[in-house]
Parts: sequence; structure tokens; C-alpha cells
Amino acid sequence: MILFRKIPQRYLLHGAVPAFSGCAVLCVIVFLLTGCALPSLSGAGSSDSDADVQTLTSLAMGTTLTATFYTDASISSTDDNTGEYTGEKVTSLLTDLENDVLSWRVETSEIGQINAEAAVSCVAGSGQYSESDAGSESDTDSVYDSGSETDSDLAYDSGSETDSDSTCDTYYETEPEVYEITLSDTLASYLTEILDVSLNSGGALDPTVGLLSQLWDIGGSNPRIPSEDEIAAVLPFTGYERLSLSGNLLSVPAGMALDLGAVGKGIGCDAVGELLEAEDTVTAAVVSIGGSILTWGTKPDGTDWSVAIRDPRDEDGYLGILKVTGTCYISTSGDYEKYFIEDGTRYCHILDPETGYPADSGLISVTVVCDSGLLSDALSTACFVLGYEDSLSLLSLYGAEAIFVDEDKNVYVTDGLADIFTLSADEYTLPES
Amino acid sequence: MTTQKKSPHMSTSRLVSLALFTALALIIHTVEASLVNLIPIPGVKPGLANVITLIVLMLYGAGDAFLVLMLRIVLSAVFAGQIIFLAYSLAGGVLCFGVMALLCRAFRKKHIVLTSMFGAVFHNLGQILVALLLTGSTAVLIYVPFLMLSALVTGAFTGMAAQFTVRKLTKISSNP
Amino acid sequence: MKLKDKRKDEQTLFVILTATLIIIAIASVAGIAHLYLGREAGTYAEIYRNGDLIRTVSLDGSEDGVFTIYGEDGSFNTIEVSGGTIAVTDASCPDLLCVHMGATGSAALPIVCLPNGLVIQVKTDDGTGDEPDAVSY
Repeated sequence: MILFRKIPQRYLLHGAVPAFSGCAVLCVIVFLLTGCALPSLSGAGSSDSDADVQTLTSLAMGTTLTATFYTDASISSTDDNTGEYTGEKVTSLLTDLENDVLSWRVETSEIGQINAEAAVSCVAGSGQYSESDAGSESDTDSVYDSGSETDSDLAYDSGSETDSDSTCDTYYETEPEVYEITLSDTLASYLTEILDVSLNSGGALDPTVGLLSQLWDIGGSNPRIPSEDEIAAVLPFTGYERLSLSGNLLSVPAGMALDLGAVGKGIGCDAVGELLEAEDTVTAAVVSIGGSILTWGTKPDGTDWSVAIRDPRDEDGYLGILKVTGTCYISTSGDYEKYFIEDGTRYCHILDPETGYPADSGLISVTVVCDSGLLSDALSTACFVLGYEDSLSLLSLYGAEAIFVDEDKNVYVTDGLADIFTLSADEYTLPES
Repeated sequence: MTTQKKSPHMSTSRLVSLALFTALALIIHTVEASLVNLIPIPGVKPGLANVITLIVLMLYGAGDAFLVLMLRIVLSAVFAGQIIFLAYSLAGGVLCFGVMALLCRAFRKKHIVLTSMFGAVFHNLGQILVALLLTGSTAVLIYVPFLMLSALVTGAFTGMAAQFTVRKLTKISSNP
Repeated sequence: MKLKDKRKDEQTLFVILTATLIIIAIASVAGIAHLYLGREAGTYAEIYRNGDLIRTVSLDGSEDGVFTIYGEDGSFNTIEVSGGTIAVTDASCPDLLCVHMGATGSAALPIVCLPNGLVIQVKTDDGTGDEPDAVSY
């Protein structure tokens, strides 16, 4: 205090003017900051901008489609009422993609037609095709070899399993016939990418397991454990390496059935991503097609997308949260989505193309993050079949990152995700790598 | 401007005056604390005891005012029996006093109202900081606007009260 | 230094300080107005003690009732949840401000009890909080 008293008044005044103006500026800054913090603290700040949020829940591609579109009304657009349009566009885009190209359940789709072509002389499976109620009148863009026998609709409804084995066997003993089919550009490009992953994963992802999946029918109406003989009979009709694609021309051995179920949702995400690029007013969106996620753009509040990964053993719980920035594709393959349990053994829908039995690599869930929906979906399936160790080189080949969960509830996270993934489920552990 | 004497020892009259002021401050503080708060927001209170701090600051100087302030804070905490309040009172009181002493010096004891308002603002800022530290919750930041507004109002009021009293006291002592 | 310069400096300081106070006043009023205009009914309350989240209570009626939170030092706050609001009905603190603050059901203002280090923050489940944007499965 004595010191304080001895400061001459003029010095104090000279020091005080800048000091207090500094304080004043500081006060204002502190104030503005707390002012900005207020809306987020009170959780009441979402109503004061042009940003608008539209959500969509519908069925597409045989699964649940949920989407949230963040639109900015201040952006001038040629469309009016864009939000609803975006939702409708996405739904119809995916329905078309499914019906025209991907589905093996719809005969009029390209895949359906390929399968019909190839499988004519070999009765296989257990009446999967009977589900078809598709308006087969509706014409599709696909071009296929219309010269061969195509009245497939009825041929499979009556397929009886007893004679199917023998038919196939006898058929295979003869020289296998090969059908050549011209694909649409879209499907050709998808298939090129898929076969690339098949090759690099040593067949862990195989688009030719159609007959196998029909045999098991996991997730279908009549799942069962096929006999070893049945599987042995069907295996010769699988194998991606027997498929050859040059340009748009696909050669399919007779009896083979394609199944793009492993990548369909990812392809859907890619298609939605392309659609969103053309939507002027949509600034950000998050789309989930049956659990395959596309995050697109940046949320209006600038925060990261938070994508939860389902707890493989608790349908309503989360394994953890992944914080991703900008556009990102996330896909998970697990043994929990479609499965049945018989005699204490869990049979999941992801089949190992090598054995013909459900994949048994010690993993119960794999989540892959990368910049393509098809790749994330394809890689998550391939990694699930390969197991943790063998997956790492495959992932780095495609620059993808992943989260693995093994059956002992250990969670392995690749380096690129280590900082953005937070494990939240208590029963799981992150081993020190 | 009357009694500021630089003596190493306290004169009896100064000792008595400061003791009286301390007692006054304590009474004001205690009465204020026992009144039910009209505005139920933590930290929003009249702060009338600050009138005494201001008067002593103007009449006796910074050292004496600091002494009175510290005595008042410590004693009132003892009376209230709540040691946790000491942290709030000390942080607020010291910040408030520092700012007021500086301004009092810079303005040569003029602009008492402005000085008091600034003191009140810093008093409440200090309390918010302590609340942030003690509760560890950013939720208390929501109170910043309320506390600032109340600081301006109560600061202006205590400032005017102090100004009025100082003028009277100066007149009395200059015309005995 | 001349007296005139001193006066000038004093005046500058006075103007700056007055302006600061005015800005603070305007910002405060704006902040309070924003708080009150933006408030909306909360769906759950988080109760913190000394910075730690000790309890989360739903305000949807499923957890209506009265409970008391005790501190290590014997301090306590009795909390009542009913009809979508939460209130402190009794407390060990001398000023009882937390009790006087009454019941709140909106996310605008938290109830705080500074002596006991207690903060009750009402929050709204509007998807921007803890809910993820999407779930991958």
C-alpha cells in the first residue's frame, strides 16, 4: 500500500489510460464470447438462422432409409420446396437402383436377369424367386442377351431341393457353358470395383455367392443349416475368378448366381452422394441406408458428424462414437444383423466364400471408413471374413480405416481413427497396441 | 481530502474512525445478508457495504480502505460461519478494491459513481471466476449478463450513496 | 506535465470507461433477452456437484419425486421433480438462494447453490446433444 501511494499521479494516469482501454476491450471480448457461448449452453440456439433441417425415414433397397438434410434457404435455387424434393429424389433414386440394377430378388433388375440367364439349366435354391411380385412390365435400361431362354419367372418357383443337387452335379460334369451378357455402364463400373476388391482380398469378398446365400437363406423366411453335401454341390458354382469382365461384357459361367448384397447399401450411399452434389440448397446431409452411413458436407453449426457404431451384442446400445469431418462413408459388417442360432451356434449372414459356411474369423463386427460407399461396404465384408491381422494390408491398399471387434470384446482401431473414435460401451476394451 | 496524514503510527482519531467504519460495514453487510433476496440469482445483491469501502477510500486512502475491507470480509465470514463464502467475498472484494483504488487515483477522487460501477463489475467478475473454479461447471457463465447488469445498477447506487456521504463529511470537517 | 494535459487524460479515460459500461449494459440486456426468448422446455436435468455429474433426472414424469443429495461435509440439497420442472425445496446453505430460485423446467437458467457447489442444468434432447447423427450397423 505504501508502494502504491508513492506512484505519482501523472504516471498512474498515463499508465491508466492504455491499461483501462485494454481492460475495456478485454471486457467486450469476454462478453462477446460468453454471449456466443450462451446459445450452446442453453441449448436454444437452433432457431436463429436460415438453416433448415429436414428428416426422411422410408424404406428403400429392402431396408430402412433414414436421412437428415440441412438446407440453406438463403441459397437461391432453381427448385422450390427443395427439402421434400431431396427426400423424394433420394428414395426414388434408391428404389430405381435396386429394381433396375442391383437386386437379385427382382427379376427385371440387371443382376436378376444375369442370374436368370446363367441359372436356367440348373435349378438351385429354395424358391427365392417366388417372392417376385415385381412389375415385370416396367422396362429397364439394361441390355442383355435376349436370345436365350428367359422365361425364368416360373422356372424357380417349383424348384425342389431333392433333385437340385443331382441336376447341378450332372450339369457340372459336362463342359460348363458360359453366358455373355452386356452390362450397363453403371453396373459394369460397380462390378469392376467389386472384382478388384475380390482379387485383393483373395476372394474374401465374392459377388458370386448367390447360390450359397440362397441355400442358407439367413435373414430370409426359411433359414436353415444346409447339409455338407448341399454346400459341396453349390461351391463349384461360386468363385469370382470364374467371372470375367471386359469392358461392358460380362462372362458368367452357367449356374452361377450373383449377389451384390454385401455392397448394395454402399452403392446406394455413393448414388445419394452424387445426387446431393447436384442439390444446390442442401449444404449438409447424413444418410443411413440400413446402417451404411454417408455424411456429406459440414453441419450448419460447424461441428463434426457424430456417427455411433452399434454395440454388436446390444441392439439399442452403442459401441462408441466416431467423429468425422465432411464427406465420409462408413459401413459396418457384423454377425448380429442377420443371423440365427441353432444348438448354441450363431450362424451369421456373412458367408466365407471359401468354405461356404458363415465367416468365422474371430470378429463380431468390422466398421470401415473411407471415401467411397461401395469400398467401405465391400471392405467391411471382406475384413469380416479375413479377420483382423489379414485385413490390415487390404485396408491400407485402399487407404481405408477400420474398427474391429473380436469375440473376446477387444476393440482394435486403426491409426487413422484412433483420435476420432471414442469407445463408450463398458464391456469392451481397447488393448494397448 | 482532509485527514490523510502520513504518520507511521495510527492516530487515535483515525483508529476510532476506521473501527467505526468497519463496524458500520459489518452491520450493513449483516443486515443485507439477512434480508430475503428479491432477485433469486446467486451473486445479485445490493452490496451496500461497498459504500463504506468507497468512503474510506476517498477520505483515508487506499491502505486504510483495504484494511477496513479485509476486516469486514473476514469478520462477516466468521459471523456467517460459512468459510466457502470467504473465497467468493475475497475474490470479488480484492478485484473490486484494486480497480476502485486505481480509478480513484487516476480520477483524483472524482467520478465516484463511475469508480463504484467499475468496482462492482469487477467484483461480480471475480465471483463468477470463483464459481467457475469451485463448481467446475460452465453453466454458471449463463449468469454473467445478469451479474453485469446488477453490478451496473447496484454500483451506480452505492456510488451515489458514497458520493453524497463524502460530500457531507468533507463539508463537516472543513467547517467545524 | 501540465494540469491541462492531466485533465485531458482524465477526460479520455472517463469517456472510455463510460463507453465500456454502456457496452456492458447493452450486451447484458441482449444476453438476457436472448436467454428468455430462446428458452424452451427441457426434457431432462443434469445435477452436478463440484463439477461432477452425479445424477441425471428425466423431466417427462417418469422420475417425479423428492430426493436429497448429501455432500461429504454434511451439506444437503433436497430436490423435487414434478410436472416437468425441477426445484430445490430445502438446503443446508445459509442463503437458501437455490430454494428461492424456485422451480425451473426450461434450459435457460440453471439452478445453482454456490455454497454446496451444486448446479442443476435442465437440458433438451433435441438431437444436437449426445445423440449421434447416425448409427452404423
